[in-house]
Amino acid sequence: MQDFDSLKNIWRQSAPAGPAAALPSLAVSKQATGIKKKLQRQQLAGGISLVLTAALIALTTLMELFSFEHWYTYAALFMVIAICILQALLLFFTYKKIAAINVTALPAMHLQQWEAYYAFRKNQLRWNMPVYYFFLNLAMGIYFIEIFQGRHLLNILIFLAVYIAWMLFSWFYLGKKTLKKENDRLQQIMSELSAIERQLTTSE
Amino acid sequence: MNQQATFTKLYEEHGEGIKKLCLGYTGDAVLAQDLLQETFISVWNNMEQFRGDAKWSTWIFRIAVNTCLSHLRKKKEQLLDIENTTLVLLPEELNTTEQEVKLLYQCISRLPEADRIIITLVLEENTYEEIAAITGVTENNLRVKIHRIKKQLTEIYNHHAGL
Repeated sequence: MQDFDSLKNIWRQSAPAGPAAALPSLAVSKQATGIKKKLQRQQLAGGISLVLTAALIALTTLMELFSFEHWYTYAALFMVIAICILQALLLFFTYKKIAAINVTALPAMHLQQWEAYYAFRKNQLRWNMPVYYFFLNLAMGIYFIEIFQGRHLLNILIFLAVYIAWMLFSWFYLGKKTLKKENDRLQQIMSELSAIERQLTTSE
Repeated sequence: MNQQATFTKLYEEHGEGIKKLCLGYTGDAVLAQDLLQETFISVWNNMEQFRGDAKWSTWIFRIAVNTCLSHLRKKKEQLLDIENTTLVLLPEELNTTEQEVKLLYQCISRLPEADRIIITLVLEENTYEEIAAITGVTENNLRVKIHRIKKQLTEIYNHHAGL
């Protein structure tokens, strides 16, 4: 039967030697370390990809690689560019929000900052995808008006069937499934953070 | 002293203590090493923010505590369940100091998250004032908590050591 002082003696005898003695490589900070850096990198990479996509569409349009007859076709392309830019801005904003989480704050406050971030993500997931899908498909719909002119009806129908099938599949199956999974994950993280926060703040 | 020299000195002084904190929190040497690494990278990235309001040790331990607490495992571990939890060590193996230490770390990692942090800081012989500054828990509340956690940890340890 050991008392707490005996456990303290055992603790004193423990010395995590070996790799712990090595100075951490600061080069690692640029790689995948920690949940914060990982999340930041995801947002940054997503944002940059969208800006590059928007730039590519803008560039090819400006270089007159597309010589469309109707103004609304250009408007549709402009809409796609705007959607990419707005989505990228949202990702950069999220990046800034993660960067603002202060690891030197008191633990309860630090946990609250993470909770606020996950609540923001949960809320964002609810509206972001429907809005993104709606405007992207609206833009594509307008774009197709001119593209389909003069084409064989059967070809148009096949193309539209494939396009709509893909959109429905990605919305109702992939999108909803991913959303539910992500939503459940965020809810679990928020509950865990809140439970730890309570452990720290509840008086005994 | 430049940033690199200060950082090296801080690591030499507190690296081992932080590693023990991470080990107590996770009960897993590999995970503890990752958290140690992550903690000191955060220390490096935030060194310019240190204003000297608290001691370096308080500041670093707070970063370590935040790093541990915000680390969420994919598979949530079972919290304290003295009767149903089986630890890795078998009683007949419990005959060397190294094994006792291993069992102690495993017992700590069975406590609720915040309790693991607090008891590790106690075992590292931080004062109540320091633990309060690191965790943000008031000293009075801390005294009550520590009393309870000590009792709980001793019970878990004896339960498993005596199996």
